[in-house]
Amino acid sequence: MTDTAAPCFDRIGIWGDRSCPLLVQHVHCRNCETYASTGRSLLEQPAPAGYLGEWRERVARKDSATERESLRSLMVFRLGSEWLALPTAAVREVADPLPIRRLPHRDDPRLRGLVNLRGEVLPCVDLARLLGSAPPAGKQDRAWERMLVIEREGDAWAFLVDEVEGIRRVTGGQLRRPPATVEEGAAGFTEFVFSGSRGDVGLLEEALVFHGLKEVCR
Amino acid sequence: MLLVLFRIGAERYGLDARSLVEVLPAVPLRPQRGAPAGCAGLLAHRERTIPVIDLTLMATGKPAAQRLSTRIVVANYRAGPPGSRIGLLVEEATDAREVAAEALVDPGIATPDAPYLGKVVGEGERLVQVVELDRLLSRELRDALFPGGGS
Repeated sequence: MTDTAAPCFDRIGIWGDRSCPLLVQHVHCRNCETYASTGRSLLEQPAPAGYLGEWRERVARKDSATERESLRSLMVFRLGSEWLALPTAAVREVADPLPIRRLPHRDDPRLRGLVNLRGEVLPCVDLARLLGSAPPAGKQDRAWERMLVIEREGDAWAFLVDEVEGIRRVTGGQLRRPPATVEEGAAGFTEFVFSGSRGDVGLLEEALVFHGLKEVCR
Repeated sequence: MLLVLFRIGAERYGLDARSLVEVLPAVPLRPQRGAPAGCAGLLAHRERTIPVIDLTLMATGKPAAQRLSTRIVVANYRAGPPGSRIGLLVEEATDAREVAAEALVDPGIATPDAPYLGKVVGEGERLVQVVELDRLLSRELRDALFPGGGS
């Protein structure tokens, strides 16, 4: 290929008369080394004006890619007056509240019964009691009530929440350790605290919550 | 192992991608007056300052050409103090190749003046030689760039 002639892929390649013998082997010019090296030769020239200056600024700043890596996707919901969150990966579904069938001879207040989610029978727990926080006072705002289905290692549970705010993405830097002096209620299950749109949100420690759920359903 | 390929003079060399952080365009560096030969300058990188070595300058005595394909490869420098990074200004850093570790062979020629040159591997009709990051800097250069640290 010379500089004056049209590149081979325009003459005998896929955009030419397709007489190139290598085309049988490569099927398309983009699989051919000649095409690749022609493309790479575009980089053998000085950088356009302003390009390197722009990059110098970008390189000096913090890397947004590493920040993205530490982003955690969290499902934020409300129990009574408390805002809590669980990793979104643990949440399988947000459903409308379903009727709860009580289980005879199971008087553990943390286990409210069973629900039928499109034919699948799931245990329904009282998350506020499981976490040991005060049961939600006042049930005036029932319109927001939702049923969260969470799953880990094939085991799924449902529980009612008073409101689901949605999914929040939080960077590692936004997470704070909960105050060590607060050990009451949900605080014992809280791994981190971060600022939500309507007050502080406690990020529940997934492993502890699922451990508690297994205890309840034993 | 994945080798990030580049060129010194007419020959191809490779860096083990596992020790690399990122590959950047050859942005203007702040020259460091009085720095030892081979040091291309200082790079403001992710809220830190890291030294950049011009490998072409170090090996051939001529600075790297200013082209789009000339790039700065940022690497973790394990021979320095913990967490230290180094930038390598190299020509034609446009490609990477996966090579089998068994395919790397000893070149059989000792290079005491260039101790950083490692094993070679055939890549098409050409040979690619691995540049060992840990042995790249001479003692003077390492002491100048990473004072008070390293093994």
